[in-house]
Amino acid sequence: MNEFEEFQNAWKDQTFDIKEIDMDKIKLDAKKLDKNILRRNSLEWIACLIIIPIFIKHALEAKTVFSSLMNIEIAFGALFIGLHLFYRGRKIKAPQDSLNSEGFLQHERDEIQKQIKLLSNVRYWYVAPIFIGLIGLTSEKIYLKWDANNLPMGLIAYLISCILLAAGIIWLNEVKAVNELKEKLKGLS
Amino acid sequence: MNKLDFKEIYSEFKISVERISFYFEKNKEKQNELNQDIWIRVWKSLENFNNECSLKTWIYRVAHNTAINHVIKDKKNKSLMPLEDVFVSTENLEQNLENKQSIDLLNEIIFTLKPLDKELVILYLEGNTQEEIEVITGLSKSNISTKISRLKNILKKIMQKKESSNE
Repeated sequence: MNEFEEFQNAWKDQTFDIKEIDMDKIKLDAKKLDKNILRRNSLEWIACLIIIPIFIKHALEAKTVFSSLMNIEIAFGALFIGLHLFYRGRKIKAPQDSLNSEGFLQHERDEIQKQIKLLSNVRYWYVAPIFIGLIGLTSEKIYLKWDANNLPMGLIAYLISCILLAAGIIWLNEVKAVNELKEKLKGLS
Repeated sequence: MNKLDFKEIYSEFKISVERISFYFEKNKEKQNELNQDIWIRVWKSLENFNNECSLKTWIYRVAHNTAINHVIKDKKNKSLMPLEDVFVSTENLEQNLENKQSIDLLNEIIFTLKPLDKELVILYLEGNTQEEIEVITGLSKSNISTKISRLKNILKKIMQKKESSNE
C-alpha cells in the first residue's frame, strides 16, 4: 500500500458524531413537508378571499364614487397579487431528483435569477395594487375632514405611515432581499 | 425501487451521507439536521428512481444536491472558495502540522471549498473513479482532471510536510 492509499484510508476511517436516523420519523417528516407546502400556498389564497369581499362590501357602501373606486381597486389589487403569485408558483419547477450536481446548481441559479426579477418589481405587482387604493382612500378622508384650524392629525399620521410602509416594503424587497439573492448567486458561480 | 429497501439503502450509504453532512455543515446540531434532511429527501425520492443510473449515483446526487441546497440557504456561507484558490504554503503547513494531524488540515481545507469542489474532493477521496465523478457531478472530464491534479498537489504537500516533521 503506498503512502497516498494509507492517507486515503485514514481519511475514510474517520467517524462522525452524527445521530442515527429514526426511520419512522423520517417518513413522518416527509409527509409533514408536503403538508407545509400545501398550507403555505393555501394561506395566500385565504388572505385574498378575506380581503376581496371586505373591500367589495366597502365599495358598495361607500359614500363617494372616488372611495367606491378605491375600494374596488384594492379588491382587484388583492386578486391580482393572488393570481400573480399563483401563476409564478406554477412556473417554479422543483429540480429532478436525478439531476447531477452541475445541473442542480444551474437550476438553483436560474431560480434565484427569477426571484431577483420578481422582487425587483415589487413596487408594481405588490405595493401599487394595494397602496394606491389605501393612500387614495386616506387622502380622500383627509380632504373631506380638512379644517385648517383642526387638522385631522390621526388621518395624516395614518397616510404618512402608509407611505412609509410602502417605501419600507419596496426597500426590503427591491434592495435588501435582491442584494442577498445576488450574494447567493455569486456563491453559486 | 421499493420503499421497503430503504433500510438496506440506509445501511449501505450511511457513512457516505454522514461524511457529506460533516463537510457541508460545520455546526454539530445542523449536521444532524442536514443528515436528517438528506434521508428525508432520499425517502421522498425513492418512488421516482427508475434505474436510469446506478443506485449509488442516484443516492450521491440526491445527497449532494440536498447538501448544496443547505449551503445555498445558509447566509453565513459566503466565504467559500474554489479548489484553485487553496494555497498551502510551506510556512502555514509548518504552523498547522505542529499541533494537528494532516487529516485535520485536509478537513479544514475541505470545509472552505465551494460546494461543487467540496463534492469532487469527497468523491475522489472515497475512491470513486473520474468517470463516476463525471456522472455524479456533471462536470466535464477535463475540469475534473484539472481539479484532481490540483488536489493531488495539495495532498502531496500535506504528506511531504508531515513526513519531514516526523523525522
